[in-house]
Amino acid sequence: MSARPTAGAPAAFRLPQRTDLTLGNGLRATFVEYGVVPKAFVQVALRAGGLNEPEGASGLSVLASRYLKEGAGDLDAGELAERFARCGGGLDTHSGDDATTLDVQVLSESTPEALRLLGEVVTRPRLPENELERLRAELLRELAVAATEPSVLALERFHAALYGDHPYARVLPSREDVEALGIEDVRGFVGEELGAARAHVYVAGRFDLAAAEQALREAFEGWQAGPGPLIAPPSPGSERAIHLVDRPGAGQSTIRLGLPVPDPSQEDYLPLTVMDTLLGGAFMSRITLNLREDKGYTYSPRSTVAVHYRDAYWMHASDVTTAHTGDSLHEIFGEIDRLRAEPPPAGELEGVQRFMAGGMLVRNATPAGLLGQLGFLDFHELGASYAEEYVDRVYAVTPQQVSDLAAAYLRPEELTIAIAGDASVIREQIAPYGAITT
Amino acid sequence: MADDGAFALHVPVEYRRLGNGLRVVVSPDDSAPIVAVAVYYEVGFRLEPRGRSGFAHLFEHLMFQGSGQLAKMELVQLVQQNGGVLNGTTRTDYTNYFEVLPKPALELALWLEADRMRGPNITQEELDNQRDVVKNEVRVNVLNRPYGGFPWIDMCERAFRNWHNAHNGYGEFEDLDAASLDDVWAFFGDYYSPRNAVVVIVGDVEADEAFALADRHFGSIEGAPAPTPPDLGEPRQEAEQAFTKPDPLASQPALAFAYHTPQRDTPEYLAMGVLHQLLAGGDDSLLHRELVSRRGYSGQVDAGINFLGNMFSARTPLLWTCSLIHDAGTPPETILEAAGEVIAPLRETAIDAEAFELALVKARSGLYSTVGGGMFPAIGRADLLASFTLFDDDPERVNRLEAELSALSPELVLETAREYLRPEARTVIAVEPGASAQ
Repeated sequence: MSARPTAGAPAAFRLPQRTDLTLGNGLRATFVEYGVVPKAFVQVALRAGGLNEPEGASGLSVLASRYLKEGAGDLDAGELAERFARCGGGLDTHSGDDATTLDVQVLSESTPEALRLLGEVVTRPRLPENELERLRAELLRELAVAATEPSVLALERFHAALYGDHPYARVLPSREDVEALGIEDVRGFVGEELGAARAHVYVAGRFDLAAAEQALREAFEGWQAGPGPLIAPPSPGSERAIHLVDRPGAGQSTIRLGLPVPDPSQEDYLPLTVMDTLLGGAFMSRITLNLREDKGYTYSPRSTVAVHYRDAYWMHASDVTTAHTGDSLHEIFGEIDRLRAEPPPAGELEGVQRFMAGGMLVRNATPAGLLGQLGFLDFHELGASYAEEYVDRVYAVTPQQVSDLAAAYLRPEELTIAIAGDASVIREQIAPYGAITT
Repeated sequence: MADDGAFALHVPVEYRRLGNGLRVVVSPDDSAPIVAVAVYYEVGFRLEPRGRSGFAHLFEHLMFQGSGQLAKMELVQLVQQNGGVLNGTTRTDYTNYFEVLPKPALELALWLEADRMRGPNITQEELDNQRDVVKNEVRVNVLNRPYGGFPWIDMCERAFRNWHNAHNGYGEFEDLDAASLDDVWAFFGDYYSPRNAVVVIVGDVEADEAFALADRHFGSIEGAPAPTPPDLGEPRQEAEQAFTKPDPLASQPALAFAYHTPQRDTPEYLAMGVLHQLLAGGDDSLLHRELVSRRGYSGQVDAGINFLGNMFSARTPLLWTCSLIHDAGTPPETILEAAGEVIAPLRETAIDAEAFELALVKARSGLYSTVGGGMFPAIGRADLLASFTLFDDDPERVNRLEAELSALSPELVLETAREYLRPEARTVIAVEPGASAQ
């Protein structure tokens, strides 16, 4: 056995070289050659989603994104799927609160063909009416499943409490809305909301840059520009209260607890993520060591700063033993209070800073990680400097600042608490932590 | 890496065995200034003793609770405080521990893993704590959610006859409760020997340096001879079997059907992988076209050969399982009949060259995705190298798989379907939902 080795400083983080271009219709594109695996990750990221749905048409963006797989130009849905398969990939479409993405991972030599196919999908989608009933039924089936997941039930109440009348209040579309969606809604959404001026195409991995660039230009230059992104950030609020979803017999209580905080465009966002990592965002964080490694109340406690465009909230999440639901809240609030009252030891903070600095290298070491990083920078309009200065800014945060950030932003008197659990067992345990609404 | 105009996969592989029997595989890659260290022990669910279901996984948790020179959680803190990420998993045939860190932390990571290879240092209190954590893991992933354990636990229990293959690897709570410190020492002695382990190092390091560091830190660890594995054999299934599973937390019915796979070290096993691609590899696959696109029974068909990994990361016997969530209006028999009609022709005539080629493209692209994937960067590659070393003593096989796939024929695929997709060899589980659909 030898003495424990020490590790020198990690290499400085540098974003790999990116090639950017903008087409006449406003479409932006970014190419990053990276790695050794002979595949390319291709993504069309669109700044439109649930936020852009008309009143009473929740679920439309999801239905529309699925509809994009139902054929394009000369290809019906089966032919389109087979053409992507011959590239070595399958098209995935996804729509969230404020973004819709089309993703495909293809063999390197098929990158131009994948871009041509994606161009067909966005410029000449078929949107056949005869698939409406099936796709709507599929969405309703998924809603029925999601509505039985405790994590979804708790998050729904959390979002509803924070966002009020804003579309972000909805975690799941309403069944009534989905049942009423028609083909004209879908065609309207695709035609009006999904245009080039809202789109950014990313290609990362191994591919022939010149061929990919040419294919992209040819495939996407005919796409109608459409409007720019809809800017409609919410004005979230939070009040100290417990929103309880009764799940009789549940062996665990699913806790989601938090409140709005500064978003990535604000100066305090990055220091706040340092505070979050120390408090609950990492395996070695305080809440994890306490709730899991000391008490054994839970398996996977975690916390995060979740973001939309110009909007963010901090949230702790854990699924805790029913009998220890009140005890868990006691420990979580105890850790929040302790950090608000006392700066962390310098060594503890330094460990967190090194974790985050190394994480920048690790996170960006795959094409998928790079896509996520570049997408984050572009979506929030942060510029490359944000990534280049990230590590220095992380290290600049002081222990006092961490405590001050917790004091300023994690205000216990305003924390929203959502719990899905067995009300008959936990009601008494949790009553000391806030007024309960069911 | 030179392209020569073509994109090809070549994984650098250096393989040596230390004096104590420990196998070490190094795969240099300077794409990013990071390294991955992955330590695989050849013990998973299948080898745990009767009456101690779930013990291999509980033991994995205990390996984070301290060892000779490391206090509880100190390993986690040292990895994270040096910029790394880490995890461990327990699968059918191995338990692995891995970290990805900035390159200067390589030696530290090897020292940490060597310290715990010498043996955990566990108290009763730590055992009790991790027993609680594991029970909460089982609750959040199985007991407190709809479709928990479906189909991965359920299908093994139903389709296999041999207890080693059939039992629930997460563990029955009574077995977890019975686990003692004596069990810990016995299990460690039986399975956590250098002779029963593989260390894989992937990333920004020269092979010679990596081997020298591995020898420095692991070379002096002594251990018992590798254990003799139990008989994992299964009888040939001669009659179809069907089961129902009530799920009080689910709102939608679900269906799974499975077939036994060929033995791992045969061409038929790769042919089974081709059959998987034909039947369920993407939106253009036969089952997706029939069950999803044409009939609308479900939005998605999930299928694969290894529930907790890929077809190369486990020993056989394994199952090829297909599952989907459907509507109450569609009886399981109707879906099974439709699936049977898709499968039957594959047992009658050989597929044409075009379909065969497309399946091979998918298999090749899937292999590349596995190499480039994983929970963290470099971990997908490390997992394949470790698996080919543990199960085949042949890490270089990663570079021969494409040739092995190309050497298959439609005729072999036909023969494989005739034997392994026999209707009598099918096991079916239908989930009967007990929760109200909204």
